[in-house]
Amino acid sequence: MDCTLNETQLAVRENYERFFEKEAPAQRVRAAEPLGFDAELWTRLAATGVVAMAVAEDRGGSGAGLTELLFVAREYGRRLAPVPLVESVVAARLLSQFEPARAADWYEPMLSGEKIATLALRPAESGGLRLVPAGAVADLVVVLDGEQLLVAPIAGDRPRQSPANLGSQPLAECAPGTSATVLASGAQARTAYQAALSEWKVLTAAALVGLSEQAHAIALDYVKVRKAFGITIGNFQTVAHRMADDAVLIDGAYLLCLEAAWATDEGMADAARLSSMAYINATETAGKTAGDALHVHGGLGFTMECDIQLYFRRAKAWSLVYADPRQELQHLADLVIGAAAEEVRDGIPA
Amino acid sequence: MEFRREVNEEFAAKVRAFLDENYKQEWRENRFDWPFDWDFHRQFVAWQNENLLDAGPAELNAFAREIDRAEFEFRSVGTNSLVANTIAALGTFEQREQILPKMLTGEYLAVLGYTEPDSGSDAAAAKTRAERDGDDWVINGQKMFTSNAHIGTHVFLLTRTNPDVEKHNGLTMFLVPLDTPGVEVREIQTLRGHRTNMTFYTDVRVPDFYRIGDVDGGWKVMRVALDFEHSSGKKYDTGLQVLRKVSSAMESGNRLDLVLRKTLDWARSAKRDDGTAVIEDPAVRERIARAAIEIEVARLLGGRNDETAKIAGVGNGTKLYASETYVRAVSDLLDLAGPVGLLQHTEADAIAGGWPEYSFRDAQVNTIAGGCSEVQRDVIAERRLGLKRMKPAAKS
Repeated sequence: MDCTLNETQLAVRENYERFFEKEAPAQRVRAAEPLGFDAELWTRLAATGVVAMAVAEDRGGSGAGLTELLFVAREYGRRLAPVPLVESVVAARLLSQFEPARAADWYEPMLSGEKIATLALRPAESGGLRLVPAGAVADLVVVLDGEQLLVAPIAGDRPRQSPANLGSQPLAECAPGTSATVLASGAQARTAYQAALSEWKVLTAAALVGLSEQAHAIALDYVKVRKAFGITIGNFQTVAHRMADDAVLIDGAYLLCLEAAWATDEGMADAARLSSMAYINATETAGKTAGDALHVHGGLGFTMECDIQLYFRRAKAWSLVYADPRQELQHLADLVIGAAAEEVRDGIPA
Repeated sequence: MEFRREVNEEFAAKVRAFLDENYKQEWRENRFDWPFDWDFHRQFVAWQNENLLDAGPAELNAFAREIDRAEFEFRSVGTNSLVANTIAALGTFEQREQILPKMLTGEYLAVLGYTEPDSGSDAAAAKTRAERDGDDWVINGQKMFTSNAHIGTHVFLLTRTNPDVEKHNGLTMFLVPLDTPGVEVREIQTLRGHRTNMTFYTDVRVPDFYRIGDVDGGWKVMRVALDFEHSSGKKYDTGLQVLRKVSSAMESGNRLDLVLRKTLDWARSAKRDDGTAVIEDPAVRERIARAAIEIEVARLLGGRNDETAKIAGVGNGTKLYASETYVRAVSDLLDLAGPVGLLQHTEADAIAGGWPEYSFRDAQVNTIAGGCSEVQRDVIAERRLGLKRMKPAAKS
């Protein structure tokens, strides 16, 4: 196993670490609430070429893989940037596969970030057009509707009305427009949609890793200065051990995310299984880490003044926007059990 | 970046051929008893020296997979590896010349003597005394959990040589031949179902030759040995690399993976009393999915080689995660069977070859041995996170 990064991956990590640190401080995250969208920040992020970067070269992009994009998503998550990064990148990668999309007048504007596309995370008949992530700020939505994969312009000017919600995300119901374009049908539609969901899971997992790392770092800083009973609370083993456990969980969440991204880029047969694992593991890690980070802040953590609440709310919201996590465990079970008893990946039992 | 776990199938066939020829059927059948046989031990060590010297990842993966598939529960030689590597790192020229070759051919088998009835994870509190007498040392005391002492040839013994200084500064390490007069090995039965030992040392006289490291420098020796135990020690010459490759390949076999596969095989065909298929039960499926995630994470934590691998306390995190999830998951995998899971692993109709019930017992020592989870968390908190721990008032 080799989990070292190449120069491109290192450069992406460094560039976007700097970008989000500078452009998305906590006061900007707060200022964008409750909608959870900062148009100016989105314009600046788009100007870095992030959407086009995610699309293959022969489709107008610069062909980055998930192993690069995960470092953008991780830094976005670290700063809770109020922009629809994951949805727009995943939707663009999906749309770029289809000729009718590439021929559309919105395709180039989508790659430049002027138009925003999003993805309905459930099929239309399963309520996929309710609470669509980025639905309040996107121009286009991709949805699996029966046997067809459709892209439709979303009615009304953005930003649209978004119900107040736990994670201050721009969730909205997307009315299926009358001018929907059919991208694919039948098995091809389902396969493409499932692959996009799988990518969404990896990048969301990466964002949750960044979120967890920062929540942990904020908590660590706090327990080193906050005193109780005459000593800093980080000296108490009961506090220190939580911090130690969470550091290890975050290590694991990052590595599993990286492996899932690698498996996707390499077209490995078990990419969907690893993506599901990475997603579940990251949601649980974020929930525990952000929960512990909130807790060690004591009563202060319960106040809206304290930044840790920003992390705590999104740790749950970014996870739950897709599904009840235990349903995802059932989905993963299908993939684990469905594999042959002696299923191997390049020889080693799975 | 590379996550493929390549296996050299030709090499795998070679491993299988060795095991088929030499690893007896009766040992396979009684695997939970941890058989041991000196002839096989020496053959196995010789085979490793011959075949693993130039082994790369694809060969080591093949080795680990075949050992795993054979459900190989032969008594471990892992302690031998870390003692040999510690002697290579800190021993004198004469010790390296005279002791190491015998460890590398399987003639010597070293076991660990750190823990005492009154000190486990706090190993530096050891009370077993060693006192100088001319060119010899005379040792008195007792050790607990001296696993394999009834078959080994030497014990790597942590002793107290100076009781009047801070506890870490008064320790000295010896490699004591177990056939020295005054050494007594007494059997202790474990929850897992096979023996470990208590060892007693009464006026045990050993020449100064067997002292490893400086007088009162035993803690430094311990630190080096513990680094090898956590797989983060430096590499030495090639013969020792074979020992290290073997122990790390066998560890990467990941016992939980075997338990999950065995449980899954059982669950695929098993029915509940009401006739429903076990594998269709959402509660069963959820447990299987969760264990699969933990197996993957443990494997990744243990295999990382990026800049994070060098952070202090990272190896402790891997040990913590792997052992804690093993304990959690085997309990879950036992539960999913329902009452039939209770049948002891020695019963012919125990489910899944007895692995869930056996592993439920086995797992409990993993969060203790090699430094309990609390100590691992202390080390991570202190060395990695910079959280100084409140220590009880120091006394020796």
